[in-house]
Amino acid sequence: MADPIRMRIARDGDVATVKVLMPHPMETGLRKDPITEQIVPMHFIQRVVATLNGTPVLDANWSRSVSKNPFLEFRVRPARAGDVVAIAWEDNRGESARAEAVIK
Amino acid sequence: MTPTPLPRPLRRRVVAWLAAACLLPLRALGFERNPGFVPTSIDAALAAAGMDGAIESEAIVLKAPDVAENSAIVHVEITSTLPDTEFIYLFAEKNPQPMVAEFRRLPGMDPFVAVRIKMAESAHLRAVVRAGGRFYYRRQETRVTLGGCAG
Repeated sequence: MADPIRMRIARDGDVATVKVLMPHPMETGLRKDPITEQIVPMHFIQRVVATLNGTPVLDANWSRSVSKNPFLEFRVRPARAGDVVAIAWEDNRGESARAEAVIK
Repeated sequence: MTPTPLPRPLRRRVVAWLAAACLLPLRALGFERNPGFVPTSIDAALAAAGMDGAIESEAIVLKAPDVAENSAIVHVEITSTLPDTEFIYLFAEKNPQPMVAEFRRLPGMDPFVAVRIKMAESAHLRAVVRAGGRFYYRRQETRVTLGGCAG
């Protein structure tokens, strides 16, 4: 199982900036393993959904061109202390992960 | 003693509900993958995504380095001041499949995203925004100094 999603939220008034790191290899399917010289199969996050208090605010589709261990930043508004931001991803193999954080 | 089975229609509903709950939240919106992800050239990708008539707009701010030292980690920020921004898209025009990402903006999110991407070689980056049902775009060139990452 991959490392957990890391999320950092900074609130300024009614806007909260959410920064997310999602540990994932994001293999393009074009890279050769330097030792085995075999092509490493494509393996990438293709869907990311962010919710605010359970309601989707961002729904993303990604290609294999997003960097390894993807970084994503977005802003939610209106944001209040105690609101809950959740992130969920699903990759091209059907693997998934989810995390949530409370806005301070 | 065996437990009393649920009446059939109810049992079916419970099973259906459980199956649906397992798929939440990723499939909750019934969102289809954009056909623009498939083509291997920027023109074909834009055409497949229905964006070939997009209008260039300075209401989109595309922030990316002029020179990226590491082509595997290029930090890109897109901000739209177009009213009713519904979608933000990012393309790396010379990547094997140029469409990198599609962000659907729903109520509660500002029209801004930042993401880090891989670039196969020096190329124009293109941000496309769908606002009020129409497409707008902004381009910027980013040179990569280290060899392409085949990404």
